Amino acid sequence: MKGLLEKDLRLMISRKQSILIFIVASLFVAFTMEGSFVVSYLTMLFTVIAISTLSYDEYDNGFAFLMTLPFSRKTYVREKYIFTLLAEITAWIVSVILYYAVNMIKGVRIDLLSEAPVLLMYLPLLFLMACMMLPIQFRFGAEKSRTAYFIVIGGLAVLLFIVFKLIGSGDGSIDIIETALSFLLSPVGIIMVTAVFLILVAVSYLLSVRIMEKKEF
Amino acid sequence: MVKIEGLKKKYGDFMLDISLEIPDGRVTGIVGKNGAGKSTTIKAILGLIRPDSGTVTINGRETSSLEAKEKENIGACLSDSGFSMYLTVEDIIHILKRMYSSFDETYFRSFCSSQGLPLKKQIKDFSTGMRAKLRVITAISHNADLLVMDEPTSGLDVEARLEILDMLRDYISRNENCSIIMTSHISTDLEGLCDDIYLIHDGKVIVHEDTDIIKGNYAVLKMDDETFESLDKSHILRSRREAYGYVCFTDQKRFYTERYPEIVVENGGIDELILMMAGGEKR
Amino acid sequence: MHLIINNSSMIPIYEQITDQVKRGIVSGSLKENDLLPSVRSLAGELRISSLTVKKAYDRLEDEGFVVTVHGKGTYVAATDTEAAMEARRKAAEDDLCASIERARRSGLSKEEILETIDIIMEDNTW
Repeated sequence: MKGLLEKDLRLMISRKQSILIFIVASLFVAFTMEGSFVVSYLTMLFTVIAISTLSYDEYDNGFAFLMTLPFSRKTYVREKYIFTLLAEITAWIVSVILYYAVNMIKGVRIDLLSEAPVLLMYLPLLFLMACMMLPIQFRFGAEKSRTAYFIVIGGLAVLLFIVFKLIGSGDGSIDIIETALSFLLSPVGIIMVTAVFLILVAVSYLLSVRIMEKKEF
Repeated sequence: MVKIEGLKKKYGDFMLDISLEIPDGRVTGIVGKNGAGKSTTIKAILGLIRPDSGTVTINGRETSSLEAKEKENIGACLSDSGFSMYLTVEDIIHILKRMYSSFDETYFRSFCSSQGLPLKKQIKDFSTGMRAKLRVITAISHNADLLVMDEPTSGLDVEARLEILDMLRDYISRNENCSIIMTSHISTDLEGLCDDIYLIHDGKVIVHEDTDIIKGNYAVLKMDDETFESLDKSHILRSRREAYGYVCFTDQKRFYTERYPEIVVENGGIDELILMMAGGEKR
Repeated sequence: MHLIINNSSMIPIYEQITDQVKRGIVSGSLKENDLLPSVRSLAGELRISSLTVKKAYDRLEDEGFVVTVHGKGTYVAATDTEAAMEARRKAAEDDLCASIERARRSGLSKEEILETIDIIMEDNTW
């Protein structure tokens, strides 16, 4: 798997120009907009870029040669999940630092402790999004999956941001959400949510493995 | 040792049905017209496709379920597939280093410098010849015991082809027990390298012969109608009508040169084998 | 050992190899216990298949000209074997035959040829 990680890392780096543009754009957004949009944006961006290494692998009939290299198909799938997770976490850490730094420069004080839960939420949610995208891409390939993506990503990003903005603004009619949230944040709730999360990830992984093991090139 | 036993694979109308055996230390060529089933055979050997029935094994292990360690012993070179074009040679060296425990970085780098392959340029900016050489060096730089190559010299000019063939010859003499399976449309390439040849036609193996026998005992005979009528056809494999009379293909050149000294005899080669056996009528 | 192969000849390649090796042994350029190149390296050099070289070496071994030691290589066999003598004799006979044919084509009669041979043998002190 080390070889695959090396390959995907280098593939990501080969796109440094577009990545740089994205980062500059998000910095601009961070300065002009309020809220932690920059965190969700950058984290999601890098997660998607990580997943796109799959389309690079597939492009120009690349899979045929790739599958002759010394790893099993299961390992190939596992590496994609791990790589995506690592990319996501790294992007998240960097974007949180940026968020804090930008607001320090702006003179806005941020209470990291109270914002922490919200910021941390992005991680599992975005990983779940990845877990939804990966099997689709394994099964249908880059081209056909693209449309599905734009809908899913766009929708999720907007949804995420709205939901957390609403929670933060303390509107009375959102009491239900607050109660639900407080349950979820209780010890029992957290265990339940974690379990559901892990199950969903496992299902996605096993599905992907099955898809790849059946494939022919 | 590579063994294909009763491999059957259906693609729409086309049906592959072959058996072959390649012992250790053998260099084998697979030839045939386009669509005959060469690439499918290669893919089956590399575990890229699964047989509908039959088995494809390397040293007794099914190719579609080889483990990572076992795959380290195989070097593949496919004419239409390689590393992502956005990578550079430098990237590839680092990737191969992490993938193969026997990767020979020195050999790889010295090859690149002697062949003029730039290290920091993306592959998408390489010429066809450079890409082909890169694919070959990728396959032979980790001391694999088995090389599987699908058209390694296709689309290359004469010089590049000869360079690649010499690379393979050098590899063969340095790795005494290595085996090579290769397909090619360029018969002279195979004649100078392969121990034996499988001719696949319409999904079946129709000829399996040692290369030196193809070149030494097979021959093309040209004659007029009368001579053909009275010809002893016991060793004629195929014959075809031509403007001047008949052209025949035999695997017993001496039989005919001794008995019919006036017949025009041309040495048999792989091209003639393909043209006559996958073309002409049976005697 | 430098062999030259004619790819367009009617003579099979393995035979060209055995011929040239035998000639080398008979002429003395290949001496007893000389190590012949490995099958694969000779094949690479001549740009032919290893199997062809192996067949040539096997044939040479069958006829007693070389000996293959497993794991070490193929060596020129002791040159005072009957086979080597036989080959030398045959080579000489072939040369003689060619010379006689040429002499006949130039118009010399059988008597003239025999006379010439006598003269040559007298003049020389081998």
